[in-house]
Amino acid sequence: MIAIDILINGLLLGGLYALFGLGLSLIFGVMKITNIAHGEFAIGGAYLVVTAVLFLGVPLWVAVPVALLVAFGIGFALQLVLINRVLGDDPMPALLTTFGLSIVIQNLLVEVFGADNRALDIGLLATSGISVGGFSIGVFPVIMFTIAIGLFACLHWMLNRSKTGRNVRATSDDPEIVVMMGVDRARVFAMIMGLSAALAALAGILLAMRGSITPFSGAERLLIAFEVIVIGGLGSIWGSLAGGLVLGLVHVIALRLDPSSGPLYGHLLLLLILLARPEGLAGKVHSR
Amino acid sequence: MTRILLLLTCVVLTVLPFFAGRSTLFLGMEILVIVALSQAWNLAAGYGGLLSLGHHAFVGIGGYALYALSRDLGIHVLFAVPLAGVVTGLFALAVTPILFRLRAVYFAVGMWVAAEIVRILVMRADWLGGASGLPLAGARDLPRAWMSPAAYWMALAVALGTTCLVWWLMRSEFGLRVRALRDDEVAARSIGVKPHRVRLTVFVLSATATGMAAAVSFFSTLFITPLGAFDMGWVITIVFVTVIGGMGRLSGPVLGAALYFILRESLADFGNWYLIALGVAAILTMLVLPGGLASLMDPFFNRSKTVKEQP
Amino acid sequence: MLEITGLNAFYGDFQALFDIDISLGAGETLALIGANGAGKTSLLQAVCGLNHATGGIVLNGASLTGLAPQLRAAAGVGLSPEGRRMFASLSVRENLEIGANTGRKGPWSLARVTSLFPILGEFADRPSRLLSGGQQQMVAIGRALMSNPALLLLDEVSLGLAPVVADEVMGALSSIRGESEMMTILVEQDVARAIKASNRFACLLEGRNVLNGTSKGADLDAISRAYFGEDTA
Repeated sequence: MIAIDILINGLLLGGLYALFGLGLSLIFGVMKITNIAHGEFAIGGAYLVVTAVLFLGVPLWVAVPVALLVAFGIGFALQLVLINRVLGDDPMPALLTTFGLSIVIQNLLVEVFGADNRALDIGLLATSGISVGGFSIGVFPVIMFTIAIGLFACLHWMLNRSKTGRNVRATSDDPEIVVMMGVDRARVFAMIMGLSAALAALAGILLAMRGSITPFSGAERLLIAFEVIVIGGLGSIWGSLAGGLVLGLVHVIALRLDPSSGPLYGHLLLLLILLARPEGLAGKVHSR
Repeated sequence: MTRILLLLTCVVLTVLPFFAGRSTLFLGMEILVIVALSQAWNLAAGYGGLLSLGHHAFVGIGGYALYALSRDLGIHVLFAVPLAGVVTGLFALAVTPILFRLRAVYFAVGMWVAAEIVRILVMRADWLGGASGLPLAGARDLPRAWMSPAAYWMALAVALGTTCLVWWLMRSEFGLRVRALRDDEVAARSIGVKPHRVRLTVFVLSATATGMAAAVSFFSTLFITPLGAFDMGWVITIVFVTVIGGMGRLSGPVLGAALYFILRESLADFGNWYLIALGVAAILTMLVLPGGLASLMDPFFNRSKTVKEQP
Repeated sequence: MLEITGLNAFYGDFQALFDIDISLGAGETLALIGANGAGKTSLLQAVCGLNHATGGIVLNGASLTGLAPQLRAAAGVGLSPEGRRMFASLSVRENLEIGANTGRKGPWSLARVTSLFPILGEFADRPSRLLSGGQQQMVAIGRALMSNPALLLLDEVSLGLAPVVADEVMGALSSIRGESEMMTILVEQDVARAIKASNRFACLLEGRNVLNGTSKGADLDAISRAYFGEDTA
């Protein structure tokens, strides 16, 4: 009985983790870089909603979509004016630039909002549960999980069935030649960064609804996202979902067996997987 | 001329404790520690191409090694400081079989994850004081008046030692191998460079120097906690200092540290704004001045350190 | 009309092309001949905007100088690159369709390309990475044609193909030669084959244009001397 309970809770948590990984996976798949500021994009997105709801009195259902659009815009703009200019054969300048970005965003959040915990109040939804076959399942985790699965499906459709998605896959395959198809690579990259930022922001918003956040929560979220995409096989969309579910399970099991362990076992799993996969890690945008 | 200036600087730095007050001395020690840490990181990342975002693991291990060595083995703190560096180097050697499977971005973030693991393990280790930390047991034996000069001189020794080590390494034949490897691994292999051995040497030396510098820093605080020792803030400072100063350049960490402390001290009343300013400066450096502040000085020294040659 | 004047191309400090002048009339095919490293691919890349180049490039009255590669594609430059460069995660059909991404109007469509290369119609839904080298070459050419280019650039289309396959690909290309206003620049190692498939030729040596001429009745000995850099006087 406990085993099934753990399984359900682990998978539901894994949905959220997968969402953190999804945006990072997209970036990696298309641009072959890692965005160290991914966690700060997530937390920053949540603070956008906090600002709108707590300080401006905007209703939550208006604030969330607006925040996602703003996150998309910020990601798009940062890619165009900043990250595109440090891309090249060497991924390190992009790594260092996004590292700088993450520290700037984190400390701006500290200066504006202080270092206290913040949460988004979703009222009764946070505590209500449904009983299925003797198990009590939280309604909100189920909603989160459904949103995550839905977004994975949307992204899969976008990449495989739309013209934009085809151009994105082609850019990932051969960024040098794709421009001769009339594709503006810089804009494709910017769109992907915008999309990634919006997905991160949504995950951050859900995190703030589920628990609480501080300006320093970003680093841990980045590591979770990184673990999700490594466990899932880099650059693979559905791999990220699997990676998220596995990591969710690991965290929930670890919490039961060793309550003070925190993210320890997730970190150890990452090293274990890196050890078991010596052939190196290279990625493409796949969705199969 | 340059030599005389350098020598003079060293002499002034050495006799500083006889003139300076406590707070100046403490700031001086901090600066020297940051210079040493950044030189060590630069050796791995700037010269060796091993960009690590987990050097705070080595900072923490160096600090805790000092505390454990002086408490459990009764080693005098002044001897425990260099030994702490050795312990850190041995730890680095022990983790390379896993971490050296990773390249580039994976190595960078893999190091970060490794540092997190070490931090959590130390927090859970009762013999290291758990989350609440440890006092420096051997500090009782030391004369109090000499504490801060001793910390300062040790920091000076580590900063100069690390700088000289990097300078000497990069002038040697080994330095040629390191650079060949960073620029083009395939070509380096073809001229007989053994990539694993070169990277291992650079990485372990970098960790050893980091551990030593950290031990000096935590010697002066007389107390250590996991949150302080394994703080990501160490890496943030080291990376910003080196990037702004100039990666893969000997004067980079010195120039970067100067800018870091100028910003930190002048923005001291404005909370974390100095970090924001540093982050922006680092990003701008990546965009418009990839060689950092040190590259601005190239025209004054016509023998530039990193000559880009055409194939 | 294509007018290339005073074209220089650079890779870092290395200069790959020196002062190239080439002009091409509507419907003409130019064979670009030269040894490895003579600058043939550099010339095509300079036309595409894929390297750093100075000088004038005017295609049908519009200057391409300084334009980004994607805008040159939109202006009518179509490239079948050396080494085919398939988009590996796209199907054959998607690889062809992405060629039409610029939306240029003209005679070429998926149906027309698959009638030129029937095998591509048959394999339309296969992943492109599963095709043979010759089939991939057909996709690369088809992809370039799908953009209805005013100027088609073919880089080493027979490289690495079995002679019979290479003949098949070249045969398909000659079948469409001269039937429209489209101009073609053909880079080819095999001089005889290149001369056969073109109206005019230009021979490059160490980044310089050393010999021009009409392909019909061309003096192969003179070409061979220019090719190897022997006295061309």
